[in-house]
Amino acid sequence: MQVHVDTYANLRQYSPAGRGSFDLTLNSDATVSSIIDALNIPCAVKIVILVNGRRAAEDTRLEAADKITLFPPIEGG
Amino acid sequence: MQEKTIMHGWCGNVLRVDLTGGQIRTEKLDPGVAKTYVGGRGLGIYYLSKEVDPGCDPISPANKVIMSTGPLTGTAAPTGARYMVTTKSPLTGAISCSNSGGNFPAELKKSGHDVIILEGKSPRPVYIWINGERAELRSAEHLWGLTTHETDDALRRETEDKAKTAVIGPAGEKLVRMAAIINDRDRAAGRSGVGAVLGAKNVKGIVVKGHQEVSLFNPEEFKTVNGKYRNNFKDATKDNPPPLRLHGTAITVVGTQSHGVFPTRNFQQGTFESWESIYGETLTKKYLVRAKPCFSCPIACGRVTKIPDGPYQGEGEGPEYETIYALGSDCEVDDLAALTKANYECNELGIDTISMGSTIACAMELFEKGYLPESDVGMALKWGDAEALVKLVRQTGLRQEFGDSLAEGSLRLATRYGHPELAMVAKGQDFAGYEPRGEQGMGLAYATSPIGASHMRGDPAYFELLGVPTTIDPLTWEDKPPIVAKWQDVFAIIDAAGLCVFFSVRYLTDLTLDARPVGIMELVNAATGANYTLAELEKAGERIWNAERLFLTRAGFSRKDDSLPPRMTREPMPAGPAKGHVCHLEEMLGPYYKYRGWTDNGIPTQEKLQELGLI
Repeated sequence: MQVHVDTYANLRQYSPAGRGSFDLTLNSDATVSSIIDALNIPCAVKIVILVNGRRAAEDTRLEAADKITLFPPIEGG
Repeated sequence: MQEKTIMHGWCGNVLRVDLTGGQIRTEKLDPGVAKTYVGGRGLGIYYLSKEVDPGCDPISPANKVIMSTGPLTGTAAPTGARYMVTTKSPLTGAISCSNSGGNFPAELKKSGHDVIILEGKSPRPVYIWINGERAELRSAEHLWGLTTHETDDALRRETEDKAKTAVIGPAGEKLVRMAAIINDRDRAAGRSGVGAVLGAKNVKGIVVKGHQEVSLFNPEEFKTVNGKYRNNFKDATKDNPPPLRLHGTAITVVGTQSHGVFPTRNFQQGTFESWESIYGETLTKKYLVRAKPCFSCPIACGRVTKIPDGPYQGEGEGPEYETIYALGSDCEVDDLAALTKANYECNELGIDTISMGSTIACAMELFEKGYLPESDVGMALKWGDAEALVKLVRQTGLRQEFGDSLAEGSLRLATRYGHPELAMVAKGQDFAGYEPRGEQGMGLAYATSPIGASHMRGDPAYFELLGVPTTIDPLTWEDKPPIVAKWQDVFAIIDAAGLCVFFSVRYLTDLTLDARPVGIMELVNAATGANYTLAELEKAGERIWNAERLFLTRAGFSRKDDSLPPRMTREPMPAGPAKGHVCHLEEMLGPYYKYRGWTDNGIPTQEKLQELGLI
């Protein structure tokens, strides 16, 4: 299945060719952690994960056409 | 003869400026009061409650302006850079306490003063020159009408080049209800019209040069504790570079847009189609010159920027996230150069960017719906009109043409045209850049904030959107009242200590939803020797919150004023991740009051006030 992934700030460096926004093809039983593994994001890097605009965990199961947003925790605005 | 009490962390001095009589005197800060109220925001509400009639006219001589630092301001504590300006607000009639960093607050502390109290009204324009322990009033007739940058230049020329300034621009002089006090050229005690109160008193500004370091109770212990928290920061940021350093607070757009709470079209929408053209990474790429830290700050979220060419050419600081929402998405302006230029104009004229943008957005909606005639504005006022945005900021700061109406703020503007419900305010103060329908805790925080809507009174965006310390569902409301109340109290402690929330929340609390201020306690104790227990410090935060509520109660505020516009509570969010949701404010208020020990009408009970030593 195909999902769409957006990465921001320091997480952009882990996206293909640093593009930030890209489609990714995954197995049908994929979870958020499948994306983190595919992008080789180190464990020490902290991530806020959203699936379709709602908070998700690394073990959240994905569905085709899901929109995943990854950004670092932000100290305020 | 008064006995000399040696204090540490606190200087022990209050500078009282009688503007009517042209007299300045130094009073001692009572050590008991200092410990009870900590400093900064705490001392602000202490003096405001003691000396100002809650029913007074904010722009009358009866109002006072209290500028107060905390025990960590001017020390090497991380982000020990902040001061608070407390007064009665001409925008809201509620408390105004507006916070700023930069270098002025630390310099004030190094001059040997914790607090400045400005009272009465000068017959002529003046400024206050504080050179160490000496202070004098000087004529500012020749400065009246100058911008904040021009005033900063002139004041440092007339005193000392290395002195630091906090001044008003034309907006403060002309009593624009959202006028700010600008320190160090581009840092703002921005909210609630504090600049207009200075203008009403004929005070152009304060210029200060300090000559001494802040005395510490236990310098060795302070160094150890300070080193520990700075190392924690270094360790944590080794693999996680601070987003605020990389891209400024403008990076926060990612968090709000992706959750569908990025206010757009005067809060008619929670997502902005062109958001990527105005967010932090775009700002970095196009206009960032360098990151700029406040005094003693390891984060450096400040942005020095430059628009190199075109109609909005200029240099200055900003924009920050709140400015990007207010002057950008809320007005549907996607031209980053234009909104950055509008930010520069706000800084130079001395205007709060949040209320400025929100008021223009309100005017745009009034125009869209046909309530505001083109003849009154002098032009068609269309969403996304970048040129109009810059023009209207200037008109507002100078109270010219339609700007004279905008200068009254969104609620008065919308009321004048028969639709007060279109002002996105709580207690008359404009919302920050977070949508209460998609962020229930923020809705409660806006409604119960003593200064009207503010993101700096407990900021639930941390735990509802930004992942610090963790994230809980922004759309649930049942769990929010106690968490919001706890965070409101912790923010009061941060503001009282003289610290910035950006470091404190992440590195000086226990990083749980209880946000227990362990690191702040250790730093304050090493600096002051006051030996606070954690419970005592937390109680001080609750005391400050209740003292502010008591002032509001005496000014006639109650549950009826803890409200949000009907758009937030009755009109479901039209699209995005929060689609279909309203803010459940009424359902949250009861449990919130109960948790606080207040009556159903939002009034602190006698028992609660006694417990906190407020009666």
